[in-house]
Amino acid sequence: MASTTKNTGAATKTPFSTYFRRKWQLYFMLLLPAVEVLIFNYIPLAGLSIAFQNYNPGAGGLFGSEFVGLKWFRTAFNMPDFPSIFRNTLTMAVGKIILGQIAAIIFALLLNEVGNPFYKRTVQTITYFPHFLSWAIIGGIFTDMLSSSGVVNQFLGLFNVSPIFFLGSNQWFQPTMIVLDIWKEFGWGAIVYLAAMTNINPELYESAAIDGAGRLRGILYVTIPGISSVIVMLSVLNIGSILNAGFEQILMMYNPAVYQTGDILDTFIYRQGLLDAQYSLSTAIGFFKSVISLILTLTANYLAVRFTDYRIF
Amino acid sequence: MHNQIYNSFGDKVFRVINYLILTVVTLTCLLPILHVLAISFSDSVSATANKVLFIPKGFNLAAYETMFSNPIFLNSFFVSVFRTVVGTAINLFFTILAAYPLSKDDRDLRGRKWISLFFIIPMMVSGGLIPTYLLVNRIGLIDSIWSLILPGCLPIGNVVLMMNFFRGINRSILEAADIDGASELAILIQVVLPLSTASIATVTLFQMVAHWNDWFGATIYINDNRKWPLQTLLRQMLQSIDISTFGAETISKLRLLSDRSFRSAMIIFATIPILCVYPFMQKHFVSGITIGSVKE
Repeated sequence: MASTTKNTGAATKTPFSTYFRRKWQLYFMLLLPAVEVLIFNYIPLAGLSIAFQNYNPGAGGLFGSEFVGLKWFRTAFNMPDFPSIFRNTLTMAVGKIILGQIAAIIFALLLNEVGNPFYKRTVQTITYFPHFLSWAIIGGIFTDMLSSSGVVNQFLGLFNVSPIFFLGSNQWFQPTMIVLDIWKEFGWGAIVYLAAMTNINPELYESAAIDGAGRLRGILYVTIPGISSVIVMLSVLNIGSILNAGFEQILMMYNPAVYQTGDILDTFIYRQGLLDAQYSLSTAIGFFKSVISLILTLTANYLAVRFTDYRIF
Repeated sequence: MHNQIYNSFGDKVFRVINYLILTVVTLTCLLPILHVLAISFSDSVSATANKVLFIPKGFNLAAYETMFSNPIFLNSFFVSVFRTVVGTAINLFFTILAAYPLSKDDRDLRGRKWISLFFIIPMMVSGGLIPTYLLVNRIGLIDSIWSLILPGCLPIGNVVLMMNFFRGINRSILEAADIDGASELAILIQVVLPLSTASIATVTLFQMVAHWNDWFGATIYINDNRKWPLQTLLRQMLQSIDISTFGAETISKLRLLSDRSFRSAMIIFATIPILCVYPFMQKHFVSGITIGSVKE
């Protein structure tokens, strides 16, 4: 990126018509993708304006509906359930981000200490796999396993633990969602750290060993400092997703009995908007979420570019 | 490998504990799938009575036979295959078309800064669920399979991935072709694409999995359950509340589907295609992640 600004001075000497005759195909290639983005990304962006309207599909839709200012935002914030929905979103998202990252780092650290390449490869192959399964499949597997008579409760029964309603009690729903998300992603999340670990100079471990450092100190004083920049970078970037509590997972696994702790902004928007056709109200909530997420993402990207090696383009 | 330098007693203890932890962790990923596999091959009585753990009881293929003779299931399977093949092809076409010009610098693509901004903004903000739904509704894609393919057929993350890959191609080759008078389209097709098989493979595999796995799209855009992809059917079966929306004739067919072995067979069946492409994807994991997000 930086070098391009230097070159533009020389480039502008060629007249645009000469240049365009040679390079028009580049613009031609961009035509279809640009139309796609315009229709399916920019039109919905403009559609956010229905958050400020009494949207009525019959009365002219986007252009014919009455402007009502912040009415729907006020309605949303005054809903009795709104604070708990916001809290659920934040709790589950932050829980998944922090615990998920810790799990991935610990897993990568342990795996990095394995000498046998065949064993290492097998572990990687199996633990990366759940990342590629949809929540429809994983939900299918675990609603069965976590039911009151499922395998997990049978196993707990061996220790005289009475059946736990993981997906049916407000006490257990949030931790269950966090643990399942970690189960799905810890292996995949470890890849970045493992990649960073391969860049650590092996001589560092040797000189540490000469100084008397055992394996644990090797991890503490060589491996962890070696991946610290990646840890910082990913932590900063994660700030952008603290309102993403995992829409597909929750939608797949929650039920009315656990709305109190399981309902998140996205599922609430889905139910209000698509099941109850409250278009303006749910768009207002979506708008609210998007604005916060955008501010967080931009801040996170700025911090990441400013303080770590992160580059987007 | 730094692992050979440790040989103390403490290290042996560490190694045993480490292997133990990793083996247990790996088993937690493997056993749930084996459990479902065992149920799918068991007879309904043992399955319903929760007697099956990891080995099938009363081994039989009834669940799979029922599945393959069920018209709703077969339909959904073909819908899934169609959207995966056609959807991925369209994704790839759009991704290449966008990534190649954007991989050029400002001299070759004047106004590149503004053009790339146009493509990056949608990565940062989106209209969200409702405005997108209203748009799809407005242009008449409801109940059409194209509602699962056209919205989002330009995966912008993949464009960034491929763009970075194109930039890695040796410039002198491209400049030589340019001096020979080859048009940009010819350079793309004859020079760039043959050199980019790795990144094309990466994008193809990841898109195929994304299409195969998507179940949410059809729950909002497609009301007619005969047009559902497999994963949506699976989801709807598991959320038994929603079965009330089926017709009476379908309900009697679906009663069969509520059978635990049957459900398990379907979960296994939906997993198999991913298992098939998985070995091919593994080669591209690291490049797929690191090229897309972290650039040295």
